[in-house]
Amino acid sequence: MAAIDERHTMTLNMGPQHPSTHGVLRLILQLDGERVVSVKPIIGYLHRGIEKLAEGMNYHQVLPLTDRLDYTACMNCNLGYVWAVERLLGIEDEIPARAKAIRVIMAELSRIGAHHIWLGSHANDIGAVTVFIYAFRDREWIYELFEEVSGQRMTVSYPRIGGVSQDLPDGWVEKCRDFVKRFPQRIDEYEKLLTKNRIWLKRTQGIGTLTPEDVFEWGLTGPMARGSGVEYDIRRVLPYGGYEEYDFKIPLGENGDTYDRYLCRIEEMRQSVRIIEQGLDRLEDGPIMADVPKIAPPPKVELGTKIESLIHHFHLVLEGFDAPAGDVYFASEAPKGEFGVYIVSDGGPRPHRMGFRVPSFANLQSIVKMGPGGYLADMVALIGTIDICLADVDK
Amino acid sequence: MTEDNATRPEWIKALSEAFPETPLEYDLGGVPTLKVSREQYVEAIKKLRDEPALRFQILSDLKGVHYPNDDEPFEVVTHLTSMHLAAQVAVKVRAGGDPPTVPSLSAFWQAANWHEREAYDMVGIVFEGHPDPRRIFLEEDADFHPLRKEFPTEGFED
Repeated sequence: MAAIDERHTMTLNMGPQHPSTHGVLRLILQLDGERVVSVKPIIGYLHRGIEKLAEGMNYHQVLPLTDRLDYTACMNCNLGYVWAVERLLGIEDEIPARAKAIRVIMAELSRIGAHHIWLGSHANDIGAVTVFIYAFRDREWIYELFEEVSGQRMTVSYPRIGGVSQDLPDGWVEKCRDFVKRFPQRIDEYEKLLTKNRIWLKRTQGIGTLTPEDVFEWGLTGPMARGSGVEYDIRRVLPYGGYEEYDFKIPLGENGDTYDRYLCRIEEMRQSVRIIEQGLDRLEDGPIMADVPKIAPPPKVELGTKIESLIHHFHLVLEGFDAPAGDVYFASEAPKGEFGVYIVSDGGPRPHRMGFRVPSFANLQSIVKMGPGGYLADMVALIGTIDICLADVDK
Repeated sequence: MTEDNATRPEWIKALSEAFPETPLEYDLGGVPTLKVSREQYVEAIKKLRDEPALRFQILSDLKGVHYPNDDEPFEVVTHLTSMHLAAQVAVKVRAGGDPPTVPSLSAFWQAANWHEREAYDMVGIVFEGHPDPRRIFLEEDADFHPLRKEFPTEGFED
């Protein structure tokens, strides 16, 4: 690129209300004609102080806050948090097999749902409106499954420390199997619209190229790392929650551009379907909550029949349980990358410090690297390919 | 962790050989933790990243924590991941002085930039050598650091 003459550049504010910034991201762009010279992201418009709020709550009460991190993949945030607390308490081995399988199924359904929002909005930003409609149509399918188990489409708060809040309703497994059977055809449909679409290729190939060195330099995780050929998937590298027993492939890109990240995420959806299928096969009858009455809430039906359960329930809701003093860092693979939870406990019922390492926050930084040198219109593609959720970025 | 030396994986031995003066501790999830001084901090991170037997290449997380009852109340906790070892390690360093200061890691990873800005914004730890030491979430003219313990969780006073 030729040297930039400062006098001929223009400063442009993109956002915080620009429709392609998905919420409230503000980018200060320095432009030389249509070329981007530098990018300066401004974030924090959606900061709600979730880490501070968590310090004033007991461990059960923090759960609904995690829904509000990455609300497009609330189940993954819930589960990441719940797994972290279970590791802090040392009750990971107590989780019953049925609860483990349900959690993996839910995590993967949520991953597919989050990838739908990415696919729909990414394609919509670039101009392929049809894909947006298709993706949001099929996302509803997943949300209906969530609604049946938890009563909520989004902000599900379905898992609990020790298990899950309720068992799968009658007929749910059949509906999920129907999803597993019929959904892969829908992925083919998206691919038919995009994978060989000339406009799509022009807008994504060679855009925002990242080398494996860049991935380490910028701390990228999730599809952002795998699109550049870095085989970093926490489900494989640091298995948790029973993932070591599941058979799935980790799709990798070669060129590290927007198109390869698109292919990775599309293939990830297929792999998630495979995992769900295996999870459904593993569903055996049994309890859905660990037998640790000092920590795990009692089953709802017992509240009306057993005085001990009622007392436990009251105690857990009002006082919480004491966690052992110490700290723990737990990483899980959310749709957007590494979702880490750092908990410092002082031995009391409330966390001394609750830190969330959110994937969008770490990944968004790389726009400073990817943006310059490209065109202004490519910024829209880059925001889409990073797959940000501003609620996740700003905490 | 209650494992004895014999059952520990090879890389833990490599880790303790690389840091003979720093006793290894473990967090409640069994992640090895190195507590280093401010002077050793940068050197330790460099060693963890570049030592061929370790190669902790990914800066996963960096957080500031406030322990109001300690002599040096501000701590920076860094979590690094090594893909080839399939392991994570934590490095803890206490910030000293007023304002509390630790060296910045932005020379090693661009990724440290925002994480350190967040730790400054939330806890008020200053990172020496940081290229862009501004607040990240709150407004520039805010005169508080919300994740300090004296800051109330609700209302204006506790």
